[in-house]
Amino acid sequence: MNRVIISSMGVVSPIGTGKEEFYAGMDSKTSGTGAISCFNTDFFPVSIGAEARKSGKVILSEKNNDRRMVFNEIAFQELFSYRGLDGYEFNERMLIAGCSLDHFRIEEYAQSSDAKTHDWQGYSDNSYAMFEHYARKFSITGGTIVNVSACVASSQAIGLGFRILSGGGKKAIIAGGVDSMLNPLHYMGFYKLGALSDWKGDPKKACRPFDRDRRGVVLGEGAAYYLLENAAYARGARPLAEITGYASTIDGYLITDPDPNGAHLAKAAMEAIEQSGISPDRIDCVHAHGTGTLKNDSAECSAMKLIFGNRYNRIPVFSLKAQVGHLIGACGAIELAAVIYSLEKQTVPATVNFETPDPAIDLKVLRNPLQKPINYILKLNAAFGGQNTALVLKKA
Amino acid sequence: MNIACNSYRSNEAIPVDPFLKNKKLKKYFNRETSAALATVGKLLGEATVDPSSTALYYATGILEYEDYGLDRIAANALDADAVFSPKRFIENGIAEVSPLNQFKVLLNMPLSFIAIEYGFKNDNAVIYSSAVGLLTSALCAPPCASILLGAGKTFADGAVEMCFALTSREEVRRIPLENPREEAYLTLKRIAFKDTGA
Repeated sequence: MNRVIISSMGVVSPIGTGKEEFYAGMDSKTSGTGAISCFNTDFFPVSIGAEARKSGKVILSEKNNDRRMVFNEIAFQELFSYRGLDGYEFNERMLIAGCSLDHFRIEEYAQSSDAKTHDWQGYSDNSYAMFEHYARKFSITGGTIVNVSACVASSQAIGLGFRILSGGGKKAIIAGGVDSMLNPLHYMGFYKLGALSDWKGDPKKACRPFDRDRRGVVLGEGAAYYLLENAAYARGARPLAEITGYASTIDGYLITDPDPNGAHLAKAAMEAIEQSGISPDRIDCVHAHGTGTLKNDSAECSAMKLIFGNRYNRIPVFSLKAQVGHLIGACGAIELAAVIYSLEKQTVPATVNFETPDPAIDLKVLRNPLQKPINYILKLNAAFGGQNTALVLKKA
Repeated sequence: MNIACNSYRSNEAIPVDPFLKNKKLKKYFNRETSAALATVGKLLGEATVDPSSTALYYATGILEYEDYGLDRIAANALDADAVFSPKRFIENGIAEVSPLNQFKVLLNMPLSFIAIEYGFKNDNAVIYSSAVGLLTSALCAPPCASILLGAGKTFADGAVEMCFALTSREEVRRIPLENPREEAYLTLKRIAFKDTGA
């Protein structure tokens, strides 16, 4: 198996855009959640979201437009500002990206004459075409793959990139994802599912992973992309991290709930750890999916017991979602930026809004950052519908 | 490679009941999920498949069809001057849509319901549109007994094309990819009709 390194990154998130801003947001335990400003929520039953920000301000886009386009533009620019693709032929450059749903311009459609004839397709911004556009624009012409596996879409995209490169050959793979559910139609879709946090207090506290008083998901938005390279061909690269293992499983349990036993999330983790050539006791911390829903956090705790045995409540666990919200199709990608932060800073971050432990979830969730030697991190994600992913990252 | 394909016309009912152990699941299905379950049922029939060692990859076509209730939402969201009203969108539009309809929107539902119905637990992915994504996922599959490879497309008029193949990495490697951007259901359909001589 060939070594696969991450040699560049571009990130747009609710706690900042660019690696430096993102790291500063991590250092300061910033929460990017708040009252939504990118569309009118005056009559919405809930109105909290985590909007992407740059230099402290919400990134603007034209009214009703697909905000993912803006995020992609910025994230790709940043990624290539650190390291270009000059060492690779055009057919050696691939884009593998995750996202969830096509953006839909409901306001424009509703007011159009097309609504009378059900001709809605022209108001739907096709995700595949969006990625093809950016692939062409940035000369990534060796193939485009778009994964739409809901909340594991971008972690599966990164995992597939890892598999291609670990199998050998010279390729540069840009892997990651983009998403924004912060538009009226998709936002209310998640509300109808009963998934959104109905927290009545300070909106910055609305997403509370692993906390006793957790109330559900806060939707976020942004993009994160990584340049993955086969270490043997990555001349001059300064690796940010190494990917050593990846696996994906499905619960096949209920469509609405994760398997409360976490059996197949744990199976994915064990496979990724085994592929890394290590045992679970070499994992230094876990970056969890940690949505802040009653059932996900509980299932993840069950999985931790299966993965780590008696050590499950001694290994530090972190969730980024209190800070950036749930990016759905891009959550794995954005959360990988926090994994790289942990590896570079040798720090397990504090989980923001973790205030009152849930007696049923006795994991080691931190209220303050912990400095410690970190060589390996396990990154977990899980999707509505039962898909699970596990990635193992190693300090470069 | 064992392969099964189904085509359904725009208003044709998709009989999925015979292929469901848990018929209550049907309330969540859109036309594509129904067609996927019916086609997997037809393919697997009495076949013995080890679900714990079968990888599952599915590609859904570019979105052209919806049965979420978009028109009702759009019509009810307009005020007396035919201007979009956030108040009416919430109180008259979205409010009338069943929460169950959200399951008709999420693109990973066909794969998730197949996993629930047949007990698949292994490696998986849902790819948007392209054959290259579907086949690359299968080629990179971890060691497993078999691969269930599927692709579907629901057209704007509600017609559905669906193909599933029970295959292996070695067989996937031999699939000719005539156009990397080709929608995956077309690739599987071409193989199916070539295999059967149709």
